[in-house]
Amino acid sequence: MKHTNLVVRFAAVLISGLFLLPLCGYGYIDLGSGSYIIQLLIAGFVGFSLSIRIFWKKIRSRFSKKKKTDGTADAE
Amino acid sequence: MGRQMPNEPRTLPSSFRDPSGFLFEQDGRLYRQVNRIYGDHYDLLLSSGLYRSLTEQGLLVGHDEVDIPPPDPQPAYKIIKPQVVPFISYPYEWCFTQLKEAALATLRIQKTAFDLGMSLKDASAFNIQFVDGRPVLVDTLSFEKLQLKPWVAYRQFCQHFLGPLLLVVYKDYGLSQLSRIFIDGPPLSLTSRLLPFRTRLRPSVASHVHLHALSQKVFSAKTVKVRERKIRPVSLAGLVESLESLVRRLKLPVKKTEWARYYGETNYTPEGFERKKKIVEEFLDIMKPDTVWDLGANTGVFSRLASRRGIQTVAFDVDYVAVELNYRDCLDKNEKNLLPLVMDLTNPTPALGWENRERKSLLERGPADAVLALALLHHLAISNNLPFRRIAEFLSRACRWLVIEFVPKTDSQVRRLLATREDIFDHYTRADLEEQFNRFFLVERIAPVEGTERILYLMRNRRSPEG
Repeated sequence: MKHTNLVVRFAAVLISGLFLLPLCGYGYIDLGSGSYIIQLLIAGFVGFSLSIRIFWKKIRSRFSKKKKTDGTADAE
Repeated sequence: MGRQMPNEPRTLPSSFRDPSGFLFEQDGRLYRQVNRIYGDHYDLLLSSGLYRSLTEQGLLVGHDEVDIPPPDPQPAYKIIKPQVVPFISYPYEWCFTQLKEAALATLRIQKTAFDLGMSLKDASAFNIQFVDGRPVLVDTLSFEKLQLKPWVAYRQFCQHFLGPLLLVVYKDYGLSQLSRIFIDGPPLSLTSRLLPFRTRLRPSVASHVHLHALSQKVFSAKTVKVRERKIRPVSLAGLVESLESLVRRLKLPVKKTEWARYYGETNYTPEGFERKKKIVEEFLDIMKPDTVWDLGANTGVFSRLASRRGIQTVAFDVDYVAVELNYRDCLDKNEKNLLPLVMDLTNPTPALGWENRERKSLLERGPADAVLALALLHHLAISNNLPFRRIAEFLSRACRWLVIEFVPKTDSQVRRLLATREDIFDHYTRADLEEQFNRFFLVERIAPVEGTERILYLMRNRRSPEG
């Protein structure tokens, strides 16, 4: 139990250092520091996977376009 | 002293959180003052094409700019007159699919806003209302210029929508009522504790709820020097997409309730049922109401007699599944005038929030022109021990016209209610009903439903319910 608390505290200090929490919010509702941190982590992760998906899509569409063009050329 | 003149503007008690503006009523019409502090954002909403796009998609209420004196001239920028919402409802009155549709609408709005250089600065479920059966954002001032910063409404979205939806899916639909206790949505720490362990193994729930709650706990009351972090547009889009994909995949487990099967278990013949419908239709012809509340509506068979005539109808029922089935039917058939809502009439929605004036009680949102109370009386009188007089008094505050059905003790439905308890209801008679209701209503028509023991009454309120 004591160990778990220590790990959580250590992680908190580490993450605080990484992000340098902004506690003065913008807008009229409070996002809260905990929601701020977790959002950055999730957004970073899903943003990365979304970038990869978009990248793959572009590559695939380029290849399929090339293939299609080749196919059309063959037909002609 | 202190009494307002009829044409004096009255600020709505719920409109105080956002300094961008406020709602007020004047001469029975609803207006919104837009303050100068919000002027640039308001202009961007119009010039970016976001307002047009959202109103065309039916996701935002339309408005007109009007030239009337502002109630608070000093900060005023403009006055707008929003489209009227026929009936204001609250998240704790919605079934699962209504809350899910409202959540998806909020995320669709956020995605459209992103594309046009704006963002939602709040994601309150109270900002969504149902118009023509679909969820619509009613707060025109909810947008701000897009900044590449974390989404300020993320926590609010998780508390108002995601948490309650997950609790209904993974635990019990009774937990939808937590939104009534926690006006800013159930705290994520509570949601996290209530959800079963297996949800921790679902990455999207684990991150948006469990880790989110843990992060809130770990970082609560920690003040660290400010340096705002930028966030990439693709990350913001990914966050909304992740929430949308999670919400879209949530499905209500199929469970059947006693009431949801009610119409299949009636104790009278199909002919008797059709005759009852015909009588209700004749009564609607006499009343010609603009608004109807169907109390104890079940899946809305009788509500539709009103809504299909273009009458704005609210179908209340205590049974969550009946309301769910009713709303799904509305979506399937694209029904525009019917709003199914969850309501326990023995404990109707109270006034809530600051000074108990932020969210209205059921009666404060009335009166309706007409109330249908079909196959309801015996449940209130026998299951809830309510004397006829108390029921009549309540209904007299809710409507101008009343259609009420008397089901005698000899009816098998009433016998079933009395099967497991002592019959202490000597006053449960037709004569007592007429005597007690006569104090508040004038009986206009009495129509026995042929082939059954039931009787329908058409009554008119003796006084204006507003008085």
